[in-house]
Amino acid sequence: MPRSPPKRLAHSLAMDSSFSPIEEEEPEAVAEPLKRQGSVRKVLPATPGVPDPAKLVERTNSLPGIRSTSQYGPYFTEYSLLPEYNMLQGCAIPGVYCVPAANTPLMWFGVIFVRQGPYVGGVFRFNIVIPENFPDGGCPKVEFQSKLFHPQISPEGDFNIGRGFSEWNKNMHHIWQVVDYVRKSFLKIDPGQPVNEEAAKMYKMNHEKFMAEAKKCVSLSIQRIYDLSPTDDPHYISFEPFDSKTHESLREKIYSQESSSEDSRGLSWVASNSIKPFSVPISGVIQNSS
Amino acid sequence: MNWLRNSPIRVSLRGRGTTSSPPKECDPAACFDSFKHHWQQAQNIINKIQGGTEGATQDDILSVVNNLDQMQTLLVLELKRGGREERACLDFLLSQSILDQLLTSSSLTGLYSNILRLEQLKVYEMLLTHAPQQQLLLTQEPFLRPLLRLLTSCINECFPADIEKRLILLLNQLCVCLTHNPEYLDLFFTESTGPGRFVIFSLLVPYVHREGGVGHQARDAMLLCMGLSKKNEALASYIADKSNVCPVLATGLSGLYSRLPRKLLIESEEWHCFTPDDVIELPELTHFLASLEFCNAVVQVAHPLVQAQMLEFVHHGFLVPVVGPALLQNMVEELVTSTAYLELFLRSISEPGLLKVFLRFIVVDHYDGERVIDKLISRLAGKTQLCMVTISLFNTLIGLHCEDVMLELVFKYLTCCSHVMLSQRKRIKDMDVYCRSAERLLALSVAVPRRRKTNSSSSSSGGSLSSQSSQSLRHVSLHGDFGAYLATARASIAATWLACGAWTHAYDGESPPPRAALVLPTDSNRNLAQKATEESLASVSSGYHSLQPDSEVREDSPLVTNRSSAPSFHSTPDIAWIVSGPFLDLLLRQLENMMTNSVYLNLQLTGLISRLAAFSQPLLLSLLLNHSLVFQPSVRSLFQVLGSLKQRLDAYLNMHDNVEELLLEARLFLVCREETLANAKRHPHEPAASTYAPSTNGTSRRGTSIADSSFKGEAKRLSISSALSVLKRATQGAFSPVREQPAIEYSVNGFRLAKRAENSELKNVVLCAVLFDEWLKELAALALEHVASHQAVPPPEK
Repeated sequence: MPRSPPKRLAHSLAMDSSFSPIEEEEPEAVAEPLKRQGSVRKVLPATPGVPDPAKLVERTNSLPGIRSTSQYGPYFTEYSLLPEYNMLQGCAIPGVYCVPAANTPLMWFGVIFVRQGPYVGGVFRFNIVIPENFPDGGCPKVEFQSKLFHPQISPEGDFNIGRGFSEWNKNMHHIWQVVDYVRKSFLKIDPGQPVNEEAAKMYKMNHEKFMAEAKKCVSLSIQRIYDLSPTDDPHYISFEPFDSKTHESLREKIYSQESSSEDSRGLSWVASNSIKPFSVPISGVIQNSS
Repeated sequence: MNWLRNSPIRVSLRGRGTTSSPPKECDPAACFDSFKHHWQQAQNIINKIQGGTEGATQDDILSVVNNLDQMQTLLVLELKRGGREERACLDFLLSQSILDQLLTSSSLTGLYSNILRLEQLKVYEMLLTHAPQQQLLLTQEPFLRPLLRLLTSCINECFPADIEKRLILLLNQLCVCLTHNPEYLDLFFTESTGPGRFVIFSLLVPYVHREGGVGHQARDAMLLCMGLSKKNEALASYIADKSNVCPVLATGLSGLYSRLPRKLLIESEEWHCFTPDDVIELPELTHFLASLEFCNAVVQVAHPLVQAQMLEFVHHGFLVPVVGPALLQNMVEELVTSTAYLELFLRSISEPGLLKVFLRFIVVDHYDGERVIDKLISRLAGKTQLCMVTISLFNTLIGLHCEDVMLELVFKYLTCCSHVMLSQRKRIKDMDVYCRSAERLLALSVAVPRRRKTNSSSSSSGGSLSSQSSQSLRHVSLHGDFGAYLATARASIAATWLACGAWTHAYDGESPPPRAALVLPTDSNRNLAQKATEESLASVSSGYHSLQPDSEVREDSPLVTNRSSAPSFHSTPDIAWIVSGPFLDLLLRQLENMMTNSVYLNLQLTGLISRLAAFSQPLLLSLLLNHSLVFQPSVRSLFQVLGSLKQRLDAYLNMHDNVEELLLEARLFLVCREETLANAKRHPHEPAASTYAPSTNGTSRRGTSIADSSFKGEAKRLSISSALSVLKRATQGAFSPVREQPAIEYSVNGFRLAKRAENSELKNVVLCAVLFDEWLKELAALALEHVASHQAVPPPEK
């Protein structure tokens, strides 16, 4: 379970039921449509009139490009990324969880629970690094934190995203697709145009050895799962062993959240097959479920 | 019988009763003996009266009352002592049917019957107050029977104030008791009270419109009865079918409405709705609202039968015969008043059923083939006070987030999708993912002209702002920074989204399907178009403003340098009305006149459009905030209007000197206003807030209006349009653009500028430019937040 989880993440993790090593710690799958809870938004001042000048100024200065030359540049970047994150949440890509960093909207922390293929059981960390003039600055980068032996991941951890997105077309491409592409690359290994020649070669020539290397990555990732956070960003995804004292109440909360449905309220007397005002027959007097 | 109130008899009674009270601590047996003794004495006199022929004398009555007082004191002592076994006095009272005997005797005492009636009411009240299990008393025949007889005897009687007070207090007590023990309700439906009659309720009805404590207590009691009716069919059908309370309440509203002032002396140009302070200072209005709120409460708690009848009477007994004619008359001043009243009423009621009756009346009801709403819409044109209060009314109407109203005003027209090019229909639901619309909106910001060498007139007015202060002021925003606009927009969109949760249709171009909507160019539509055009022309020709907004005049006007860039819609109003509806069309047309409108009208107008822009329904959202959708040529989109406004503002400001300074000054003025407003909200009851002076021929008004103040206490919206629409006296007149005063001193950091009348046109445009800029930020924030809050994110095809 996450140690200092944004609410959203705790919730997301609860959806993963197939990951075996901490299976018993995980609540059952909760198939609830995700709702935006705005971890991205924390970058903006929460209260009107109390901006966080330091951050905005800093980013204003650091951002090149036409859009960011105006004082609104940072806002545009952020509000271009919000729909991206919403889409990613909407997709609920199985086994992958992402949270934008608290300190910048341009970096998202991610973790992938591999559910099948050579790396099954692995829990790998990655960062998505988004160009500052998104959506114009090309494809976001994916950098793995976990040590991985994989034809499409360089020994330094850089994922070969160019293999899937040779050119970033902002009208067609979205970050959720990047994440999904990364997920798929663990299921079916693609040795073409590798960034890790050795891994590619081994995959083609010595399949068994490759599988053993992959297993090594998996067990290493499990060993290091509780490692301390290398950054002080509060949105960094960290894990700790399940402790009913700390986590049980949280788990219950997750379940209760699921059952509580939002009241629909409002005034309407329009009949469902009509577009006339006050067309609901009188017998159905008042529609007000509050 | 009011003479009794101050009669010497009563004074002497009181005196004797209190002096000879028994000792506080006495043993129960002695008390009981004393109790019996007092009753014996009273009974002797009663027997004498009953047996005798000469009737009761004053001395007889005094003596009985005195004894009864003693008995009551003893009873209270006993009941307070609280021992279960030791209720000798109470048991004696019940077993001897003392209450029955008293009732019988009081009917024989002629002139003095009210005195005894009062004593009896006091006894029942005392028993209900002090008995440990009051509800058990109700099951006691010797208690209930005389009580019901006594109450029944009070029907249709007129009483002096002290009896009224006791009676209502007792009725209230009974209602409280029954509310806690509804199972005893049936005891009150007996043959002795008349078939199916609920005597408590009948007695309360005459008091519902009473002012003061008695009326208050009676209304409380009645509400309890209404609440009881929800679970008791007999009571419900009695209230609905046998009692006359529903017509009494509804016609009561009509009566109170007719006592309201018909004209208000509005001294402030920006006044557009009643504030709580206004209401406090109009006692008739306070009284009316109390009554309306009572009706609201009744509908809230009553049985559906009662509810339905109540609503029926409010509609046919109040809205149709009284409010309708008031809204459709010809006296403009009275129209302003009645429109403001209606707006206030809509803010004061909350019960959905009651709201429905009001809204239905506005949207559906006809007067000579003309609907109230059509009339109201037509008054959106023009620059008058009537226009201000009408915009305010629509602001409140739209703020109710009622689908039926929005359907009538907006979606009825947009669901046809005839406003967009056929090829564009699929794009209505598209989200603007990369902030293009916001970017475009912000790009429309007015270009501040380069400062030219100032001529002597500026230096003669007292120097210029230091470069440092002008630097710091240049980026002053009226609403903090852009983040504040975003936060406001986010809250507003979320609230609107939530409030539309129960809507039937999505209005996204697919639900309802475009074909279902069919709006033909009916005669009523054409008439409406015609009338509004006439009205707007009339207001223009009144010479109220020096700048002419109409297109024909505009051709020669210096306001438009590039004539071809300002698209002319005026030739064919009908088509635009049919495509996007008269409401939106008139609003946007009014917006085109922004440069000549007063700043207050602009505040109202932009506030209303922003409120519309908080709706997430794609049909409306795309018309207001989508920059890339291609509309039919006859359709005015918000982007078009804003674009043409920007051009005209830029052109106009470019022709004048010193604009930069004026812009700073206007900005500062508006910031000051906002601060004053914030302070006013923090200290709402400071004397300065009350600037209300009654006059003989109406009611006088000066400018204190808190735009979004609501009696329902809904969350305060602090958008610039609403927040700024408040002008406190402190700042009033400082930068008042239309006030034609020769010179108003305005001091900024020691800088004084003499305002000249000939400058007022320029100043108005400058104020307009500042407002325009801020509003663009507000709209841009709305556009951004709409994208960010977009809930359903269907992933593109995998």
